[in-house]
Amino acid sequence: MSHFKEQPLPGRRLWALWGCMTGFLLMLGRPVVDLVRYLGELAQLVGDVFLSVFRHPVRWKLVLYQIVNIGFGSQLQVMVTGAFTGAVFAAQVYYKFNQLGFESVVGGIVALALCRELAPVLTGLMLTSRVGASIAAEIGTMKVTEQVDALRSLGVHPVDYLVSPRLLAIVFSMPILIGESILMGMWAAKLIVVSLYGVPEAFYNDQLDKNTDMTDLMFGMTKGVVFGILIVLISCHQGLKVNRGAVGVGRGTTAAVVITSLSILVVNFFLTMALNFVWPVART
Amino acid sequence: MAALPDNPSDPVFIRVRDLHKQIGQQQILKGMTLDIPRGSGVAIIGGSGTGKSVFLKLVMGLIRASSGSIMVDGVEITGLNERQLGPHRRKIGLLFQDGALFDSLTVEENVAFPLVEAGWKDRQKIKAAVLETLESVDLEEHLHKLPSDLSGGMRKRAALARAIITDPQAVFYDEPTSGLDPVVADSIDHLIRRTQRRRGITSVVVTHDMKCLRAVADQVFYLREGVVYFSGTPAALLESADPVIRQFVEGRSGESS
Repeated sequence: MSHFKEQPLPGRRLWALWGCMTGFLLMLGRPVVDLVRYLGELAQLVGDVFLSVFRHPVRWKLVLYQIVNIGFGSQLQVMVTGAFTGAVFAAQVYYKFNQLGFESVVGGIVALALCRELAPVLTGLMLTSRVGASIAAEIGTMKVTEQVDALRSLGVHPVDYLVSPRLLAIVFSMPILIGESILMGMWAAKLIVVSLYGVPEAFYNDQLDKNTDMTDLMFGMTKGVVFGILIVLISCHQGLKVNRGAVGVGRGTTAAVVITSLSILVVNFFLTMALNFVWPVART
Repeated sequence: MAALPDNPSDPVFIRVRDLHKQIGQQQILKGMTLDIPRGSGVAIIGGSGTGKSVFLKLVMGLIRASSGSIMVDGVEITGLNERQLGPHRRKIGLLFQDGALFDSLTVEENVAFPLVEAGWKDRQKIKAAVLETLESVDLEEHLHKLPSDLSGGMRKRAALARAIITDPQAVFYDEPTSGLDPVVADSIDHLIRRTQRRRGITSVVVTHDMKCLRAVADQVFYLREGVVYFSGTPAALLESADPVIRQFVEGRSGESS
C-alpha cells in the first residue's frame, strides 16, 4: 500500500495491472502445475507397469482372479446396459426415420452407433463405477493400513502385485464385454424394430449387412481396451496415493471415478478422430 | 532359504551416519548416527514423534532419507531404487505396529506369502514350513482364519510368523506390545527373545514399553530431538542419573512433583 502512495498515477495503474496479472498467473498456475504433476505421476506409473509386464514374471494366478472379478463379475451390468441402450436408441431412431420412410435403416444405424460409440463408452463408464471405484477403495485401504508397505517390505513391487494383474485382466476382458454389450444392444434393437414396430426382418437384416462390418467391431473393441487401461491406471494411481485414513480413501475413490469418467469422454473424442482414419465408416 | 549376508565378516549389520529426514516442514531426524551389531537385540526408544518408526522405514527403504548414509549388511541403500531395494528388504523382516496382514488372505496364505514370492512351488513344503513357523508363535490352530477374525495379539503373532518364515538376517519390530494387555505383551516379549536366540538374528525393537525393553534388548538407543541422546545397555539406561532419561524411564510428564 505504501508503494501505491509513492507512485504517480500511471505508475500506480501499471503496478495494479502487474498485480492483476501476477494474481491471474498464480491462480492459473497452481492447477496447471497440479495437472503437470498428476500427468507426470501417471506417466511414471505407466513406465512401471510397462517394466513390470515386459521385464518381470507376470502373476497369472492373480490375472485370472482379476479376470473373474473384473470381466465375469461385470457381465450382467454390461449386458443390461447394452440391451436397454440398444432398445431405447432403436425406438428413438425409428420414430424419426419412420416419418421419413427410412425405417428399415434403423438396424444399421443402431449397430453402427453401438459398435463405434455407445457400447465402448457406456461399458467404460459402467466399469468405472463398478471396477474403478472398487480398485481405488481396495488399494487405498491397503495403503492406509500399511498393507502396501508390507508388500514392499517383503520385496514385492506394488505395481507387479496390484496394478499389472488388473491391467492385463481388463485388457483381456474388455473386448469380450464390448462384444457382449453390442450383441445385447443389437438383439434388443431388433426386438423393438422388427417384433414391436413390424419392420420386415429381411429389410432390417439387409440394411444391417450393408451398413456395418467387422471394422466397426474392431473400432469399438479398440476403444474398449483403451478405456479399460484408463480405468485401471487412474484408479490404481488414486489408490496408491491415498494418505489420510478413511477420509483419504473416500476422496481417492471419488477422484478415481470422476477423473476416469471425464478421461473416457475426452479420450473418446480423440480416439474417434484417429480411428476413423484407420477404420472409416463403410460406404453403402 | 535364509538370506545370506553380503558381508558376513563385518560385525556391524546396520551402520547409520548423519541421517536426516524431513517430512513436510518438520525435521524428524537431525543427524542420527548409530551402529547395530550383527545378531544383537537393540531397542530404540524415545518420546512420540521423535522418529523411531521413521528410522525403521528408512532402514527398510520404505521412505527416502533427506541426507546421510544407511549401510545395511555392507550395502549403501540410500541410492537404490524401488526394484533394487527388493533383495535388500528380503534380508529383513518387518513387524508393523498393527500387523499389516493382507486382509483378503487367510493366516496360512499370509504366512506362506513370502515363500510363494521367493519362488517356492512345492505346496507340501510350503505347508510344512508355514505350520512349523505358526507353531513357533503358538498359532497353528488358526490357519484358516482371516485377519479380521483374530485378536490384536494373534494378529501380531501371525505377522511375526510372516516376517520370520524366510529366516531373515534381522527382524524389525515397530511397537510390538502397543495396545496389548500385559499378559499378551509379555508373551510377545518372550517370542521376540526366543526368535532372536533360536534363529540368531538381529532384532531391532522400537518401543515405549520399559518392560519390553528389559526383556528383549542388549543395547538401547534413546532418541531425542532427532539424534541419539543415549546409547548403552538397558541397565545403564535404567540407572542413568540424567534428568531427561530419568523422566522418560519413570514416565513422568513433568507436571507431577
